[in-house]
Amino acid sequence: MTPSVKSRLWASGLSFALGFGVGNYGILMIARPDQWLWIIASVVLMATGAAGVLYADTPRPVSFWGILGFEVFAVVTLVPLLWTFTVATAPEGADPQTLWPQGVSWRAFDGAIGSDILRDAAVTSFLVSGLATLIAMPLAVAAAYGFVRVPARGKRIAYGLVIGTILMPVLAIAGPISEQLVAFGAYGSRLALVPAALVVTLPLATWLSVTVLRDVPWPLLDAIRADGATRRQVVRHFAAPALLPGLTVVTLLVFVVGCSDFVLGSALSPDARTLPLPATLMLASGQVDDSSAAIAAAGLLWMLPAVVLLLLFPRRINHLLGRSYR
Amino acid sequence: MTSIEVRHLTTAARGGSRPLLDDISLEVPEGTTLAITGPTGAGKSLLLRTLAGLEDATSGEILLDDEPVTTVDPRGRDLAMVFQDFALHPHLDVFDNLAFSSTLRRGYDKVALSDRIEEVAELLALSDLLDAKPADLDDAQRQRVALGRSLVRDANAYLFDSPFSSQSERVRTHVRSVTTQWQQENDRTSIFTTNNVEEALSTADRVAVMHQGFIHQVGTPRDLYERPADMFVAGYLGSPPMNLVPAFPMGQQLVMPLATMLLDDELLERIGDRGVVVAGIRPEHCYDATGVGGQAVTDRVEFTTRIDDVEWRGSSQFAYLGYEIEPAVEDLLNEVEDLLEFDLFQSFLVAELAADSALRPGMSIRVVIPRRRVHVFDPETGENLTL
Repeated sequence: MTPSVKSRLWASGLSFALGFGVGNYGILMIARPDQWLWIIASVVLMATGAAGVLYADTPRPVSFWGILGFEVFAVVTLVPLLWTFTVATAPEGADPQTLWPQGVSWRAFDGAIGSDILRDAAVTSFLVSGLATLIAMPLAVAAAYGFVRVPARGKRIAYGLVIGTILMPVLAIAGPISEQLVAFGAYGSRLALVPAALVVTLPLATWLSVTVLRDVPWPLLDAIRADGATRRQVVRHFAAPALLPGLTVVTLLVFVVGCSDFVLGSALSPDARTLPLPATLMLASGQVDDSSAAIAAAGLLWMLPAVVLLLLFPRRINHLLGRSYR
Repeated sequence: MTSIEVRHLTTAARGGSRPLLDDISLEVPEGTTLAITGPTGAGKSLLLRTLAGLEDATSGEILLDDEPVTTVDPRGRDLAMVFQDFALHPHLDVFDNLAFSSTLRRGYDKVALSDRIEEVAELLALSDLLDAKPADLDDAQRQRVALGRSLVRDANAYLFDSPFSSQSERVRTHVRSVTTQWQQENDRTSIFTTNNVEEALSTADRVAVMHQGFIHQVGTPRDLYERPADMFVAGYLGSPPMNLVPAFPMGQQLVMPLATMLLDDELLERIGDRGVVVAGIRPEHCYDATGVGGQAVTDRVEFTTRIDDVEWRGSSQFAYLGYEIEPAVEDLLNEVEDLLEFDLFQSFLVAELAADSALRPGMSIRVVIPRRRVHVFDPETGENLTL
């Protein structure tokens, strides 16, 4: 028995056992219609287990641990999403009792769109994240160019600091930033959030831009210059095709991530007027009528830009974010 | 067409180590081809990039048609260049890649350009690939596209950085021949780099041997091969390269590990009081004394030794004749190699002999070398004392 066959059989066994447990729990403990969801999950897991046993010796590079992991990942991401959808579409006055939606009403979405608080918060988020992205991108591209092209000492340390800033918990600097804002008398203004948002957007934009710039065929720049291209021709024939698609996606990604920030937003805004949307959803739920449905609806709407981005540029985003795993 | 002249071009290295380009002076008359050959890291590509205006030199002058262009940008110099890593536009197909450099300047004739592209594509076996993208091509095809892009262009002069390196042995000769023919027909001035010695000798009007950023010798291929100016040129050109063996002047004689040669007065005077020199013997100048070539040699150096190994090559065979050298001499040779960062010396002599004689390892052989074919070098300066 080769190690991969043994490993596949272990994955199959675990998958089957997990499916068996989920199925039994669902049948015994869960009421319909959610019971069907438990049974579907159980069937998929047990089928994976069966397939794993049947094809354990396949010469193809199939990882049943990978399949099992994907299935578990799908469950833990789709179930909360489905619950959010069920809450958002629950009919007026009804409290959702099951994961599967019992009756679908779009009223909460109308409420979320019509709510002044949520609309203001969305504008704040777009404004803050948009400005922070616009400021971050030129700086990030220049920094990324330095990291990729300029033979300077200490590049690795500087790049390490960029990565460190991405990993740093934003909450740790929220306090000092708010004190600074108070000292400058800017506490409570929408625009005061922009410099703070740069803590999120700038390192992320730099990190992603480095990936884009590393993939640029730089020898082509020399070739175009040797061919006698003018500056304008260099931009048109080299910079535009080589950089624009990648940097456009980086800009959109950074904007979406900037829009999702709630830590800085909630820490640096004294009142509801200047709270960005994620912070509003978290903190100001009491101020929105029929709060849980409206918040769920607003949350789902807020996800749309990210979903659209993923659907439009799946390969490029996968390349940007998953590059180190290839 | 345009002549190229380089005067004392120097590019200093960071940190004050040996210069990357060391006082280079070259002349390429219009309509001729110069090959720059040398080992990897010699500075050949940097020299071409500096000529094209992509790199700045620390000092020196570059002249095109006697006009200084050292401070002129690449567009002003108008030199076509083929890059070692091809540098093709990934989003353009082969036809557009071939056309690209010609379309950057206004006023080109679209029909004439298209005809020229078809013609060059035909020469370089790219006609069937004109619609393909670079990603769909193999390295050899990509290199031919890069080459074609320059051939299509009408420039002042042409710089080719290892333009044939990715071609298979069989195709390489053809690509080389059509390229030189096209350049000659259009009376174009070209410089190409290669670390393939045979390519340099067979393709160019003149050859420059470069190493450690320094041009050791420039001349016609025959001149360089037969009259190498120094030990590096002698040891670098030729396949297999020239045998370089330590030799000791003793009175009228030069004592080498396997043979002793009588010195004439002129050479004796040039050797002077040097205690040790290096003798250079090309493998093809070693003859089997019993063969036709060996019998015809009159003014000869001869010796008998045991064959260590034989390599039969079809048209000829290499006999490896081992010898011992004293540790002190070996240390001296190692010092020279360290200084040059290049392996010049072996502990055996290679003789390229006729393929028809039946040679076996272990058998004894009498070797004859024409005396006038033996070069003598100063081991410290590398200077050829026989010139």
